[in-house]
Amino acid sequence: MEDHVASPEEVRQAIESLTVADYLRLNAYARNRIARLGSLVGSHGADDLLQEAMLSLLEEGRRYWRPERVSLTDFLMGTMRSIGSNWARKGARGDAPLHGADLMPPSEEGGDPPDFFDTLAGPGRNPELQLVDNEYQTEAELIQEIENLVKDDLIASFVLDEMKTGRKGPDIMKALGITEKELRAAQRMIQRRVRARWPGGLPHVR
Amino acid sequence: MSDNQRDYRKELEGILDGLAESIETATPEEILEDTQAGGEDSEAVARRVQETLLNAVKQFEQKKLQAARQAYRLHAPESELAKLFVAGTPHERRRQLAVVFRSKPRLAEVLTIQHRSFEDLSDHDVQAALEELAELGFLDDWAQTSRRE
Repeated sequence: MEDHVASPEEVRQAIESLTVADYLRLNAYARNRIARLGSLVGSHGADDLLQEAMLSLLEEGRRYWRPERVSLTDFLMGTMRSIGSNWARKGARGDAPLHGADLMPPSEEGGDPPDFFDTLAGPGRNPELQLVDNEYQTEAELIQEIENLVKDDLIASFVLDEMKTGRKGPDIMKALGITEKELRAAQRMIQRRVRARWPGGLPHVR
Repeated sequence: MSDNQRDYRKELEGILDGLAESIETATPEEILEDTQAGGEDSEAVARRVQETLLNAVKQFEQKKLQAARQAYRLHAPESELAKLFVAGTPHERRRQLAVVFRSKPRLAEVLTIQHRSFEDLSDHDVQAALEELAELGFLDDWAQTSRRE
């Protein structure tokens, strides 16, 4: 028997049948992908990515969800991964607004007139923009901070080093001679500490 | 590798891909624990995600319905449009017009200027008014609601 493609009503029912853990997993995954894209996604957030994944499931000819083959959660995570790659390609071509550009002060040629209080501040950066700048880190600084979060745990530190090289689960286990259980425990520790350090998601990097 | 040879972008991507892998493979209990450990309200986050997903479905359906209506309006004769949106019996039509007037009082004001008062309208007046409203697109919501019922 051929698999059928889910109708909007079936999709709605499937959404309503998801568990709290499913929703949280989707949220965590969307945030992760947005963090990976960094400034390339402009002002898009995790909710935009989730919404785009759902629309692409529904719109004819984009992607087909076959409920018999894959769960809605897995399908949406796969779709978010793929949409994230497309956004990254577009962002790299300059098709998406960059955060840096969004934060640029108005040009001499046009845009909004300078704020009165900025004119009192004298030469130098607008204090508000300076503050935003301070919240941004370089990629190197962010990596260093993540490394510091797990430096008290030897296995987690080694796993993090392997992740930095782009190795995936089975290759990391092989390289470090650790079990799947140890790998998962280490990755969870990194995950939890990163989350506790940046509850709203990783900061964009410069 | 010396610092100036390191590709930090790639390293960060590697870290995030590894963390994505752990999100995919975590058990439901672990996902719940991790969210709570991050100080977030699991129920509130879950509700927000559900709302985002359901809104996307709604947005898709509205877009599709609107496209179908536009296509239909381009090709269907006016009498066909009326059949699609106007209720079938005089009693239902009167009720339909009353509902439209209730939801759009301004429209009622405009139409009752022509027809004096709603009670004075004949069945023929009611039908003519509804056909006109259908052509103008005022009954689109009605069609959507009746289909759901």
